[in-house]
Amino acid sequence: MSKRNRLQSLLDSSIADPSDFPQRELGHLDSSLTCKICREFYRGPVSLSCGHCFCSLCIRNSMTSKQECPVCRKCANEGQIRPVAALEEIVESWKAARALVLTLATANGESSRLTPEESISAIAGPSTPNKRRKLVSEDGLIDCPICHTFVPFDAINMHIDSGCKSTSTPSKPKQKAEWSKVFSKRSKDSAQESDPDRRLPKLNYHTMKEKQIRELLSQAELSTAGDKNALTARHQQWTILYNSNQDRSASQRQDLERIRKELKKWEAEGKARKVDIDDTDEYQRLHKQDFIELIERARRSRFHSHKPQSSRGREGGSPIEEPEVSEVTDPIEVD
Amino acid sequence: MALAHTRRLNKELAEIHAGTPVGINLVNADTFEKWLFTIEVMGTSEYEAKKFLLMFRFDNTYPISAPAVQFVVDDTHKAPVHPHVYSNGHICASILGREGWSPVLTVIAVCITIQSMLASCKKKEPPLDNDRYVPRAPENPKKVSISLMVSPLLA
Repeated sequence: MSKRNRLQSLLDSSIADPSDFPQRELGHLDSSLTCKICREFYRGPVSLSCGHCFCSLCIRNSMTSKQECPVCRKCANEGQIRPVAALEEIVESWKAARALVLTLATANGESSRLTPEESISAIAGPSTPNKRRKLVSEDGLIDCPICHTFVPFDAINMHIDSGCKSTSTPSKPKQKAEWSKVFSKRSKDSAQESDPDRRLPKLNYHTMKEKQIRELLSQAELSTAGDKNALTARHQQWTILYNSNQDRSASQRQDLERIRKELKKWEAEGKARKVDIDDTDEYQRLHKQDFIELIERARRSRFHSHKPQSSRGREGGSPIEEPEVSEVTDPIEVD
Repeated sequence: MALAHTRRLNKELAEIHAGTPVGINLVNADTFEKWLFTIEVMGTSEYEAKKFLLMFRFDNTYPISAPAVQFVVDDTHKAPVHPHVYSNGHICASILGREGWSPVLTVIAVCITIQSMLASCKKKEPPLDNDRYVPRAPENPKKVSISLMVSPLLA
């Protein structure tokens, strides 16, 4: 699909937005229940010691680049993160009630803007593509539009009818097995390790051997491919995803298989960003024209910028500024 | 499913379509990689009645890391002459750097910062190290190496 089409389909899909409400007060209530980082309803809300709240995943990701509160910039670290159970409950209740409130509000506010069907599709959460088929992943799980847990597609109606209570039942036996798998190998003190609320500790990967990291990954049933940097990045992200899942209340948690999938998705995104060049000769051949053009442009700009200086006796050295060209070889690399 | 950064940009875009601050106007947001805005300084200032084109570029680390922001410099557009704006359009502003950026900041917040940076300018002059910086600077302001970043704020 072309970039343009993908964008269009994204724009066409309905997205919950505070501006859905004609009344400013309701819009404000709506936006106050969203995370300031992702701008979506809090998922596993946590607070820092300064009192500001974020989605657990958002703030944990943010802390990988900077250890401070994004709102007030006070120093913060992972140790301060505390789940806010009450806020989670409020958000979940609001998400469930939002469509109803929206219908009432729009009927009340002005001549009804939305048909009932439209207002249902305006329920909470991430952009919801209109086509239902798109929501079902390969393993037949579907993201519940109300509570955002993954439920087998066949059971989604029953799940919603029962007020999202039956969420974890289908995966529970599996979940238990996963837990025991994870912990039986690692644990000496099984009583402490089998605590379902346990968070993974932050590790100092620098002092660890590649083999140790690989072992940790295989214990968590994750891929052990790649060099130490790749292993470290994978385990770091796994820790973030795992711990942010732990910050949600037990009924909202996803099973480990689901988190593994998210990790895979994250890695795929990273790969898309960092273009892997297998055949360098082929790559050079393909982009030869681009290189020539860029070198030409670099020469020209160098010529222009150095002209006044050379008249003062500075003669040019190498024909091309090195940084200009090295920029070209990996244009999408970040950091 | 949409990536996290496109979802967030989508929300910002909805807010922008609902209305932008005076002097800041969206020109183009056809993709989630590049957005263009015009910036105008309102009231009396050194840049009265001038319009500048501001370019935002996003990657999938947004909003955890800052977008790449610069003024467009081409045949029809020029960068403002300002102690914190290089003649190639690169901007020296703390919120665009690693230390000053915060994921709760938005595209519009950046626009407002730059607008007020221009509005508060008392003397139109280029950065002290403009001649040193511009020929060496990479095309993308986010890729500027540390050695080049002698801040004109400190100079």
